Amino acid sequence: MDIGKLATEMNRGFIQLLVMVMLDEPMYGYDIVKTLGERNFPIDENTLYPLLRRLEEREILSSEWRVEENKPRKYYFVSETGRQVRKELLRIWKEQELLLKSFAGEE
Amino acid sequence: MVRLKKHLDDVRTFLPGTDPDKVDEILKEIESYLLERAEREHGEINDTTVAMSIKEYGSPEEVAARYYEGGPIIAPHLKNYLFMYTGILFAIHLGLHLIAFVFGENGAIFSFRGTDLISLVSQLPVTFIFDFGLVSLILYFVTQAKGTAKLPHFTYFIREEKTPSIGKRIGSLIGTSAGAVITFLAFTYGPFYLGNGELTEIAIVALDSFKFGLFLAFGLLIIDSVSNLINIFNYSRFSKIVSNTLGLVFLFLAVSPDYKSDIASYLSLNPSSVDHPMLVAILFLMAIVLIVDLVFETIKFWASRIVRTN
Repeated sequence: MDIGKLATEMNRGFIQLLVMVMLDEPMYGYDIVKTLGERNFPIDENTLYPLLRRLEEREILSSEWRVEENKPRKYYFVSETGRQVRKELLRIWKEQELLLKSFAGEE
Repeated sequence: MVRLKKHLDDVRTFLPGTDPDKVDEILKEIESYLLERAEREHGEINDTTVAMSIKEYGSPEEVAARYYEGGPIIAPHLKNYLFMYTGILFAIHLGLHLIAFVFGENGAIFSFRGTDLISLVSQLPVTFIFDFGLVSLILYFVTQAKGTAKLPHFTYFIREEKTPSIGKRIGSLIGTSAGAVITFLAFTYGPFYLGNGELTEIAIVALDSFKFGLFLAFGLLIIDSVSNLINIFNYSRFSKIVSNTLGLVFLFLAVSPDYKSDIASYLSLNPSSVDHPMLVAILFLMAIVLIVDLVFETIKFWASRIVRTN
């Protein structure tokens, strides 16, 4: 059975949380793609950029343009609101993990 | 960097929204990524490496489409309203067309100038597309406004109705058949009036109009009886729609100048005596009742078939 679509749906929420956790320190888009690729979690740029924008629109992320090596780069980082949201989402994620483990007999 | 500029222009074409600052920001970010990728993946920034990055990144449509996520043209929860409102609007529109058709006047809100059946039928697809477009446009604005507008949900039309028992269906058939027999007998042997004197001219007009009215009632009751007979074996709302439509067509043909005289002569009535004001008023009332019933039945038929499945 092809689990591609299910995996994509599952990943959608996870990537949001992952980005929030990663962006404690400011990073720019290409940097995020590369870092995740190196950790065996390849992510499509076309998925990441709109996601970053949406999180910024919700004020979960903030951003600033910097010019480095003669290139403009847009750095994203978690805002104060984002930190609170992240804390809450991590709590939910941990609860879900415990629930799954309890059913899988690992608890 | 002509290639890069062209690519960004193409992406701009497909990007949603009209806020130029937002669009510029997105394009600036895409440009930044493409330059970064060209340098890091292909060694340096030049036309060739940028073109390679563009190719790897995806077509302008694909890139722009990603930014659509979460912003549908019509919100999914409004989809049911789209079909429901279109059905209701179309049914009302159909009723107005029929009024214009039966009474030979432009009674529709949106112009309907045809007076023959083919003109009416040919306008219905256009009417439907217009109604669908109008409702879509309204729901589009509701979606884009992102408001919490509470739209009326006409549950009356999609409420599951109990199929009448076989007894009720037989009762309906007996009722309409008895009505047809009574009108036939009244037409053939009646009307019964007291007095022996000669009828005045006014009385003759009234009498002929009355008999013509009986004939029309007989015709409508026969159509209803056939519909009720079919419903005994296979109950369907569609048969009601068909019988109402046939009833309207029958009324229209019977009172149209082309056929009225012939019908009156065939019934041994004076053609010039079958236009008593009372008859005209009753005909008007009958047509309105049929049209209103047809509109309601069409909405219910549409709602139960289309809205529930979407």
